[in-house]
Amino acid sequence: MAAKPTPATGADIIPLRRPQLARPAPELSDEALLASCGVGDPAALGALFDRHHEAVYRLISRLLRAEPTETDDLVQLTFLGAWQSARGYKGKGSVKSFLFGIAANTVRRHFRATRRRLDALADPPPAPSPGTPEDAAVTAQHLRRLAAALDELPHDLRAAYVLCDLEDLPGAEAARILDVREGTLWRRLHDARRALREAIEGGSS
Amino acid sequence: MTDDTLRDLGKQLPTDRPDAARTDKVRASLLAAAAAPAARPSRRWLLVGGGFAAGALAAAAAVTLLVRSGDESAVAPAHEAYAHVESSSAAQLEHTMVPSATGTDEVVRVKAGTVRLAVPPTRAGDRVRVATGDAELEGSGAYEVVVEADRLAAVTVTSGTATLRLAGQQQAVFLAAGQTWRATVQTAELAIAPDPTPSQPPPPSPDPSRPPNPNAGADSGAERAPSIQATPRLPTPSPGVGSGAERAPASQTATRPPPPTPGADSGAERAASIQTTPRPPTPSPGVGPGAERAASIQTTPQAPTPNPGVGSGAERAASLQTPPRPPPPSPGVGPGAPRPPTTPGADSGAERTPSRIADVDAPASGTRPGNGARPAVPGSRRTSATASGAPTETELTPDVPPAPAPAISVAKPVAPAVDPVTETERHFRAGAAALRANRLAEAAAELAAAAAGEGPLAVDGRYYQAVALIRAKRGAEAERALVQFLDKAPASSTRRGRAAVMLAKLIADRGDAAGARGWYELAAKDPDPAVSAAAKAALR
Repeated sequence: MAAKPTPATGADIIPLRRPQLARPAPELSDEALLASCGVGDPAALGALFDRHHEAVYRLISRLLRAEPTETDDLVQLTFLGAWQSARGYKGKGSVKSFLFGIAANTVRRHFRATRRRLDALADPPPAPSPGTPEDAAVTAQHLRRLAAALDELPHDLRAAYVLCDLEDLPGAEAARILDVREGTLWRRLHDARRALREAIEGGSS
Repeated sequence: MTDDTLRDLGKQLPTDRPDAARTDKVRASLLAAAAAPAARPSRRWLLVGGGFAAGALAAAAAVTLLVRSGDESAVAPAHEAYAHVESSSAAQLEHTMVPSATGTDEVVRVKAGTVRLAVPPTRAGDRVRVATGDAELEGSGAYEVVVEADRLAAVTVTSGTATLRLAGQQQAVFLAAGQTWRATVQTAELAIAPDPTPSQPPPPSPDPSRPPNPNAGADSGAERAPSIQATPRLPTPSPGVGSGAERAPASQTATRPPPPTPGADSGAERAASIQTTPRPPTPSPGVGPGAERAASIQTTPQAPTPNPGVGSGAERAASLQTPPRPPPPSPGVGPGAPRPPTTPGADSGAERTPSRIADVDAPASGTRPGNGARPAVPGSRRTSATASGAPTETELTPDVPPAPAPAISVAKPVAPAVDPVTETERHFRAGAAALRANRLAEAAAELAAAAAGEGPLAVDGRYYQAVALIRAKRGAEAERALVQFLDKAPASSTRRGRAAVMLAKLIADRGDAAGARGWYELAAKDPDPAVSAAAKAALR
């Protein structure tokens, strides 16, 4: 066996084995994390939370206008539900869709249980929009009308609109999350869009 | 506005973007909740499952009741007569139905002629009787009654069962399908007996191989012979005279009474006898309804008391059990005590008296003090008969194989349930004792079991479970227990403040100061100054 060339450093000893360097463990997939949750690994739950909590926060806040603490509770319930039902994950969809499904159900139950009174909540501040001040004013007005219309929208229609239009989920996946047929989802989405459009345009006319 | 425009506009709506503090708080709470044992979901499913099971049972019970009531109404409407009566042209009868305290009392009064009746099972409380001048017949099924001069001459049961009560005779006669009862006629020699008094010796038995009844003439209640033995009847009943009455041989299957001897049917000398027609072996008692059931009942003709199991329910049994004549005393059977069905499973009434079922199902061990006699072996005699030395069953029904004699039992007085210590209390006491003994794991388990119950004690159990868990250094479980306690404890609970302080400390110990603050603030409002001061100090 030919000896390796001596390094330029001039070292006389040639290591036979490279030392085990501390390297970061390969990042586990979502599915592996969920499987770990299924066997009771809380660290996996923490990793799953770190990875998806922003999306879950966003989805829940779009599905339900709520106080921050209320949203926190719903997010926690969502991940706790994922922890408890991790064994039931069949891999039909992505883990994110799995979490979204739990979140949608959690929000729906919460919505039905509390029968929220939206009057107590402040209107959301409109996001700054680029363009001229006139355009910005029009956009802000549309946003306020859209937010109000969303609050008036039935929860099923709102969920269809949020999942398909705002979260950009495929129809089949959204239908699975909402546990409805795809045709039902499209009908709900159509109804939601029409209602929102009428609310925005009707308010401007 | 296009869909794309609407989509873009919707995406501009603000969403909740939690800061790091909120995220950490939620994450910590999530991990704490996940680390706790998953007792809550399983318990919830247990409750849900239990609820469903209870609901299913209730629904099944309701359906059963509906079906039963429907069956009863289908079998015998309350407003119509039960008995279907066919009579000969010369028959003299009267069919009446009057309301009674418990239902309806339907009476077919027959004065003469041959009458055939078909009586379906009646509702509880309803009665259908055939009455003659000297007897009363009651039962369900089909039977033929022959009456001569307002006196019952013969009864033939073709299906079902019937109970025959004769005037002047304390014991009833039970007839099953295929059996015939007939009033016999005394022979000429007996007819010339000057005066049938109680001291009169019994008539000679036609069967010389059988000795006369040693009890003849000494019939006095408990010592009297079984009811299936005939006794003299109207107009001058002589107790015990008929105890040695002749019995027709098994091969005698005539269902019609023999032509009376001229001048012999004076009434005083008439005696009754049972003629048993050949029929299949008697099945085991409780095998099934209908004729089989009746047959099993019929195999105990020596029963000194009416068999309430013949009826169609507990109520009916009760009505049968209270004949107009007082029941004969029976060893071990208390007077006036309702008689349960003597054949286990032979009557639907048995299903309605669980305590009696338990009594009947108890292993037979001869005589039980205060609870009547039980046959040591199936088919053995009843104690009331053996005690008196009366003729045995085999003497009465030689053609019928002995069948297990149903036990007559009396519902034992059920002691009131004395169990003041509930399951929750028992667990609580055990948990408290373990906590005092510093057996923390055991205490936590027992108190958790107590907390699974209902009521204030369960809430206290949750509190002390948390205490045990804190002492056991099981912080996550203690947090969970405290939260559950605070969820359930009433606002007036004096432990709310202490629980809030303990919970806040647990949360603070794991580094979540923000999460602990809320609980400290809650505890700071506690009316207990010590708790309030501690919380305020922690807040500072």
